[in-house]
Amino acid sequence: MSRPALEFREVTVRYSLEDPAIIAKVSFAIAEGERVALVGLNGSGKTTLLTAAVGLVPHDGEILVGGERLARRSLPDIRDRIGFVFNVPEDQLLFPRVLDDVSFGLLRRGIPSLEAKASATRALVALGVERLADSPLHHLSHGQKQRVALAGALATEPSLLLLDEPSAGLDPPGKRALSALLGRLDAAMMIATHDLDFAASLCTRFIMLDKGQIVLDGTTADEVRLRWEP
Amino acid sequence: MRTSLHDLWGCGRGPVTRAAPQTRLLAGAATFASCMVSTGATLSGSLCAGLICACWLWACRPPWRVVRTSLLLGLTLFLPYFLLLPLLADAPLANPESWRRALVVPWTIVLRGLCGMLVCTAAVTSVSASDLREALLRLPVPSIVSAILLQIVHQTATLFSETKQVASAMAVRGASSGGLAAWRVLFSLPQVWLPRVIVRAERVADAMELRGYCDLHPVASDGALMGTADFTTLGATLVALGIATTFRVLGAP
Repeated sequence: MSRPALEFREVTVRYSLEDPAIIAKVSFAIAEGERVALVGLNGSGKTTLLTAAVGLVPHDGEILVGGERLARRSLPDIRDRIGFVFNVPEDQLLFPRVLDDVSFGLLRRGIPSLEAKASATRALVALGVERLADSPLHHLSHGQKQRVALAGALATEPSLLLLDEPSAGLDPPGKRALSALLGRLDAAMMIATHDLDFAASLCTRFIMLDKGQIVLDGTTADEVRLRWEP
Repeated sequence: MRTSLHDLWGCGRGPVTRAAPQTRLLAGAATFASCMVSTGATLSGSLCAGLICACWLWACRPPWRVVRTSLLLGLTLFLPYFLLLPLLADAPLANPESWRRALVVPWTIVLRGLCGMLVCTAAVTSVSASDLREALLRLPVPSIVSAILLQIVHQTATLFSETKQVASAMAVRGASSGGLAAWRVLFSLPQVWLPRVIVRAERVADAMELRGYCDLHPVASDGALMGTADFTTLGATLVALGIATTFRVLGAP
């Protein structure tokens, strides 16, 4: 049996000892290629859980990515295997020009410039924003920045995608295109979202968080809807 | 549509843009140094600074509105130094020599300030933000310094557009029309704005860490070699620096 793409074992996250845990003893595993929606109300701990998975917040318990335990030493290698999209795209766009930003991850891995730019362009084409390749980032709308951030994450073809509200700010055709695109990928993915229709079109598993704990681990969006709209 | 401050980068259309980005930066630095070396105490020094500045403006050819704005800003900043004249003139008011000597100080400040400002603005218009990154990475600048510089440039644009959004929100909510409401917003703004900037900085730092921004800075392989345009640009600016230094050292009239 293959190792899970992402596994949490009794993971707890708290920002200080006096504060209550943001994530409390959470355990789950995501198989390779599995697409999981992480749902929950505002402040339920979705973003914290995703950031814990890439070692951005200190945690207790064990986090394993592809069977490798997340620790200081393994962090760079693990991060190279993960595509992460923040919920505010502006925060992760680090270069003034779209193509520079999308190709950055590839260049970092030592891929030659021309090849990296070709792959970055393919990622932009897949997200329907290839015409923005030479645009300055500050000229883009929120939805366009979201797509560029996604392109940057997808360009490196990661084995695990962690996406925080990827459909926020996208127009309906954009959401459909994104859903179709993500659906074609082999990567395992965990998508934090409030958009149940988007999640239902893509995911086969739904993990619901409430006050930092998993309260539902089901296979249909209807189970989540029942809890939200009793 | 109003353009943002960030659109200043790379909007010049002069012949210097044919040179490699790092050459443009170096040439800009050499031209700036030429202006700083020139003295306002002599006619030759003043002419030298003015001429070098004019040549650099021609070479970068920034849009006229940019030159005009820089000029106005520079004059607003530096002209008040002439108000110090009565304090600097140490002899009786009737003595023209004393006034001439006193005039040299504010004139030198104005000359260097204005020329320096125009040269820097023109240099900025000759490199796009993307070029700046390439230039810094090719020059022997410590990677942490270039990473910080690039993020300053990039995040300034982001903060600028956020500021515009805040200004729009203030206008829409009636907070910019004066009166008590405007003052209330003005005083509460730092309390809202600063934490927002700090939180954003933390999130950007997270993203930089996650994307390995500080680990390695790849440079595109194309355009790495120096060509005729680079040698001409560098040669011309170094000659200008040499002339300005010679005038200064020899004390030409």
